Amino acid sequence: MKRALIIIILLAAFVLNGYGDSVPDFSLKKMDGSAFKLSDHLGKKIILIDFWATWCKPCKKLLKKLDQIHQDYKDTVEVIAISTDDSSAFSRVESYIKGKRYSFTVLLDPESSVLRILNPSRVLPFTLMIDKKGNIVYTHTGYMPGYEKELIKEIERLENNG
Amino acid sequence: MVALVMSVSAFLLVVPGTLRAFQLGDISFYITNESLYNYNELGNNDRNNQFYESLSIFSNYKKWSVGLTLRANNFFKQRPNATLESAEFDVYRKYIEYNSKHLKVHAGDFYSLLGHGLVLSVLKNDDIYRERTLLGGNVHYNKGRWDFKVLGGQVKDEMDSQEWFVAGGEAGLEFVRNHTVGVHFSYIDDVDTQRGLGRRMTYSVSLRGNKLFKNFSYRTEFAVLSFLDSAREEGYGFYSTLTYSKSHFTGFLEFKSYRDFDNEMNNPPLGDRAEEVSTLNDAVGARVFLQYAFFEPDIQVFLNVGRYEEYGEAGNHIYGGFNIEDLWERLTLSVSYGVRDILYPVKKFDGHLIYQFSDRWSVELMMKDKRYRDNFFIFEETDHTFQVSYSPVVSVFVLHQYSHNKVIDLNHFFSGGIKVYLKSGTAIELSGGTVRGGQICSGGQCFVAPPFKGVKFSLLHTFK
Repeated sequence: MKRALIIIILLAAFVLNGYGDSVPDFSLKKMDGSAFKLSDHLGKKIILIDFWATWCKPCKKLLKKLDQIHQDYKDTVEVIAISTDDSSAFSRVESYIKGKRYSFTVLLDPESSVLRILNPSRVLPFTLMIDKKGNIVYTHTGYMPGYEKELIKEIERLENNG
Repeated sequence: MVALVMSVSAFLLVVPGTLRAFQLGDISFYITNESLYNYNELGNNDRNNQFYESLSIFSNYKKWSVGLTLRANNFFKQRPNATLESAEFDVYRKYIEYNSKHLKVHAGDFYSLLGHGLVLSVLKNDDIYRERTLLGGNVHYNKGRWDFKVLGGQVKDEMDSQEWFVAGGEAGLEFVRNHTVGVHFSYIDDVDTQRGLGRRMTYSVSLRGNKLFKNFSYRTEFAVLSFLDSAREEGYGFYSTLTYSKSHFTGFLEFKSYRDFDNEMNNPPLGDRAEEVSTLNDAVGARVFLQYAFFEPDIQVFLNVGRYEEYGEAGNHIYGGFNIEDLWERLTLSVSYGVRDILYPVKKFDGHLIYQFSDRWSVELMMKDKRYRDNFFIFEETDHTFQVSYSPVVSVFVLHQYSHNKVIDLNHFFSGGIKVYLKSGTAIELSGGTVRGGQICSGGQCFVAPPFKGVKFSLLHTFK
């Protein structure tokens, strides 16, 4: 019975392939304690979300590139970095972000409530891009030097497509 | 055999372009799939062949959402006599949630954190490579300057060997703009545990604020732990931080004090870096962290000085180092060295070098070395990682780990593999060898892994 259920779900997903992508809404807190709700930001700019942690070195490399993207594409792209460190590491998150003077939005997901939906495998870093219609158009796990060029290419493709 | 065929079918189905997020009218779906095959000689329950399949479905309809994760062959739960041909299935996560502007009601399983984790912290337990979740309900109400949360349910270890009943709540008020006061409590009772602490209450008051005198932010929390079924003395926990940040300089002060404060479900902030475990039973400590950043070129230097007392013995924790990033747009180098001398001496070196030959080709070297020695043990761990990457498509890595104290009868751990990232959001990994376990960074990714000896094939597909 359980096997049949899994097969049916897999097949259903296969058959339904082709519909527009959509992002699940979520609410998290910023470092200053204020609330951030994704749906309040959809439709205005391209949204680039990145999940990271202070213990993850590739994540930190990517954050620097994302800050550059945030500055270069300020009018069209909103960068959101979601820290998945638990509360014991909050001081490290805050001092790291302030020390690097990153200006993008930083959200805290200490309960992994968003990560568990968007990336159940929890592999970091994990990036996803949402277009102005609220559709997920790009996802990627991991960071290798040069990956940011792929992101820029994708952003420019979206800009050109309106 | 049926399960094997089904598993292979699942692999084929998750090839790019099948599972994805999609929408049917007002109902949206988000689907992810993870398949993993391990031949692991160090597996739980003497399981060598480990196949893991996890399918997560998230659906949203207006203010309602549901989530479900189906698993086949979770290798942490497999019976010793389970085989690839007799797969085991379980419904891992299940929840329903109502979410309006001010109110969130959740029934099913969930993680939970109250305060800064002093009162309650039910999260994935990376130390033992498995998860803990609360199965029950929680209600969160937020309006204006007020914030309320109540929750209740049972916490089960994923191995089902331990179980607790937990209830809790918190209230917060932003009494002045950017400054919030909170009260938090948790009630925990043993259902089936090893320690049998009985009923206990933990309650706390917290204060946090930002933009104090423009450049300061602070967090502080004081908590008391009471045991209701015994004459055991109350425990307490206190944690406080103050951060100053202006221009190129960041300074950070931290103070903590914990005494008899382990309620089995709390995880207070640590004064040290994450990898240094601190006791909740008897610890007092303070530290200062100073960092100066040059932005052109991008260089940071930092120094941490901490003084701690654990079980009556005092000592220092000092570490410092530097990070250089994108020097000549080619070179990234970070080096840090630390000494922690409390109860037993720990020395730690961390080095990381990346050289980028072109826009896409890069080579990466990482080295970690950690040693401690006391009257009884000599402990030494060294990790070397060498990696060549062609971004963002492929990464080939070799990892060597060394343990002096013969963990799991091995001194040297050699592993290597290849990771391929497809544009569709699919990552494929083929690797093999031995891995000591813990936080592993290879192939441009970081994750927590159990000890491993064998071969691994994994396919992670997010969607589209």
